[in-house]
Amino acid sequence: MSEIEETIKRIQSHKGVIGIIIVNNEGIPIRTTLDNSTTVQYAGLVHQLTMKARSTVRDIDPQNDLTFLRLRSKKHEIMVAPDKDYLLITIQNPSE
Amino acid sequence: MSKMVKHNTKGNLFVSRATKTGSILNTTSQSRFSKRSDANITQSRRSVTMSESKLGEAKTSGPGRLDIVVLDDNGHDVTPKPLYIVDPSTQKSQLFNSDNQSTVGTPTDILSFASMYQTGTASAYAQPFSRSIYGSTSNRSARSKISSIESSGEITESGPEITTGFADVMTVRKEEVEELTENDLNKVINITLEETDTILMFEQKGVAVSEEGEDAQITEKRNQAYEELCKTKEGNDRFSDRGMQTFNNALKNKEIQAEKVGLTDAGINVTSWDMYDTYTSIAAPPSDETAQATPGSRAVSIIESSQHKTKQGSEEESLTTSRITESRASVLTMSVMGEVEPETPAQTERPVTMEGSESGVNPQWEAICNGESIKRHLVIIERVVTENIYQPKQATYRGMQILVDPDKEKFETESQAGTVSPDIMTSRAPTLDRLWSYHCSLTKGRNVASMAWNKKNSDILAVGYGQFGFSEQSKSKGGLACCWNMKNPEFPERVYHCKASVTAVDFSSGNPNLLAVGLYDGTVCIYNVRNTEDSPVVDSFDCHGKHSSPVWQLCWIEREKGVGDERGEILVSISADGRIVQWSIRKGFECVDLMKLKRISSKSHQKKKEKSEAFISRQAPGMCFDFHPKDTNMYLAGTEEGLIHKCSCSYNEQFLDSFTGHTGPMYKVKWSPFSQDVFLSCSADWSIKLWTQGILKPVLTFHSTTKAVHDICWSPYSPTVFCAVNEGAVEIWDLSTNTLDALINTLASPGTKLACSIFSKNSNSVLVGDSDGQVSVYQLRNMQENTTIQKVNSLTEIVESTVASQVDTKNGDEKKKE
Repeated sequence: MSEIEETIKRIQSHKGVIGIIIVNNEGIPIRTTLDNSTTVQYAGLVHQLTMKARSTVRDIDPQNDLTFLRLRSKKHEIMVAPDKDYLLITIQNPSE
Repeated sequence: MSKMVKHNTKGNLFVSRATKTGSILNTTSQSRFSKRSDANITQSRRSVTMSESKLGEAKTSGPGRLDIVVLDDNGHDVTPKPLYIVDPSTQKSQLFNSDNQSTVGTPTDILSFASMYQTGTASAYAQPFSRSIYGSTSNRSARSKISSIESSGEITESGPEITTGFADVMTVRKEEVEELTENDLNKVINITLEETDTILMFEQKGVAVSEEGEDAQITEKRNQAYEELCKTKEGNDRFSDRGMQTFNNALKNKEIQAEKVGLTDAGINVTSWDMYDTYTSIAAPPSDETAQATPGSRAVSIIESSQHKTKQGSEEESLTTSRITESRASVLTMSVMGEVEPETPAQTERPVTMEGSESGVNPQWEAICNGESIKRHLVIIERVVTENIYQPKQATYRGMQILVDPDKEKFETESQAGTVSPDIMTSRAPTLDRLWSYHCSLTKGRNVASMAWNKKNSDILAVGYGQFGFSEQSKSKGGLACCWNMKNPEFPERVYHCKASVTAVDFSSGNPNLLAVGLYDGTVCIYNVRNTEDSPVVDSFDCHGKHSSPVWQLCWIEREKGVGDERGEILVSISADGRIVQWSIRKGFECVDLMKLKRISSKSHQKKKEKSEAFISRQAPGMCFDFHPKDTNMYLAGTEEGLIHKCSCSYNEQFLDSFTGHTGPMYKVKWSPFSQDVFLSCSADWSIKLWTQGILKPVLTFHSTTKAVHDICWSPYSPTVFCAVNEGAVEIWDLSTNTLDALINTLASPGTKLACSIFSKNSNSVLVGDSDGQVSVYQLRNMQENTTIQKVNSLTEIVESTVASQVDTKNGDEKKKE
């Protein structure tokens, strides 16, 4: 358990990482390293996007499933590792 | 003949009395209502005495006393006896007892009575009153009952029947009504709802006929005929309009009150994967189903506070409409906010910023943490994050194209461009380009003692951290063996703590997940890198043949030759106690001595031609060894005295050859991977020597520094290139260009000493470990690249030419002497 905490801290201390959010399968954040308003915003929006992405992948082939989602924008990169019970969202600014 | 007419009604037996007055009404009423009556009403009875019973009056009549006496022709009394004799006392009590209930029950009873009398016996009462309207009679009888019941203690003449029926009903009622106790109120009552018979209230047959039906043609003809009729109706003389008056029924408004029907909107997205999930979950055994249903059920349990009941099952998971998600989110926060969390202050060390929401989501977080998938995902995320940072360096390492960030360019056109490549590209001389270094807080301050690549995955590097000197052992907290992955240079993927300094590491090639670690206290441990536990799989602590001195080198050797079980892979270690030991994992951790290194006192060449005998005094500490790449039976061992012994696994008592030349402890000896007879050695006497197998003296000696050379490594790409690490610098030598000086000489950062080096297998890079716990990755640039065939020969050529020149000088010397 503490190993997970340590890993999260370590990722947070990587260069350019802005924050890590862990969201449960309803879109409610359960762990975060950001402030409340940003967290809620990211959680809701990214959750919807991930659900849509997963639905897209599975519609084409129901035996397939989404394993990773990366969203690269001008300023940031959002990386989502989805799972059955949760979503692990990381926001990084790689050009920092 | 009088006949007794019996009418069977529901549950009660009523007797109808035939009277002498045969009225039309009687006939009709009787014939209407009696099924089995064969009473010939036209026949008159001889004598029937009947006392008039006025329904308006109330008379008490004794039980069983009939006022009507029927006699037949012969004068027999055939008065029907009452079938039910009722006790008046009980009757009265029953009548008055259930006042409350009776009012409830009465309307239905009266109605039932009315119906009963309708069916059968109203005729009996119709007669005395000679009323012809049935309806009014029945009404009256109904009314009479009301009045009879309401009046106290009055039982009419038709009493027995009435009271009979009524009493019956009353008793039934009585039984049903009980005193409700507290327990009864709290008892769980099962109510079974059953489907009743279908009551057809209205039926309208459709007027549409199928075209394929039997009557279709007939209907069509009729339709056509009608249409023609309608057409000709206009000016036809046969048709004339006529007005007519109709009855207009009075309309009446009736209002009813009903409960509002609750409407709920439910939306669902059906997707093909949702259907697939449903089918697989149905097909799966029930234990799996419960496991799958728990995510849905967990959601339901959280929303139990709301009235909304959702259906469980896979449809739950497919409800991805944002409306529901939002509503759930709001409900969850509502239900959670309401709860008091007493432990929140104690958990402040957690970086959770959701206020008051911990009580609802903590169990979820616990559940997630206990699962395995989050660790995996965190590893992946870490690697991805790292990749974003290190992509240019890693691409350079692998020789791949560096991906340029399109957004980064805009920022950098203003500032100075390009920090990575242009500097290196401009220079033409061979250089080392430092890409990155493996280090983290765990390894800071530890000396890198040994490094080894994984045989299967050449991205994984095992690094052993430990101090070399004895005096430094007590200071360190024990040794550390880490497995680093190129994908994450910031933190090792595996960390193993050892109780003593680590002095040697090696990966197995037969089982690529086994890592052998040699410690300063002589212990040899084997770790399985597949799992993250910090304990070794086997430990040589209990072996009786274990080393008593630091294990300086470990190597997994694939033995091809050998008898029976000697084939396969073995682990060989050399240690300062002078033994070369072969380890095997059969029943336990067993070891067999391969060689005991004996001390040879090699006296300097004397004028005497006496051969110096091998003087076995005591064992010589072994420092390094290397098995021949082609012939795994033969190996070289270097000792602390500076001697290199060529040994064979078949002989464990004697050396095949001894190479002398070094004057200090041998730190490393390495066979050349390209040339079969050439090997290289380095020692603490500041020199590196090149040897060939046949000659017991060094062929070439490389002096470049005044510090002990700790490590040497042949390049896997070029036969004449090797890397040497001394305490202060990294040197790359290329024998084809220069045998006197190093090609590249990179100084170590001040304050750190370099300890070991290793060439990379999948890239033209060399890794150098230093005493600060850093393993730096340097890429060789601008090295001469000739074809390998040419190069393979070039090494032997160099050797031969050097040997030849030495022989010449030797001959020259001898000639001079002579």
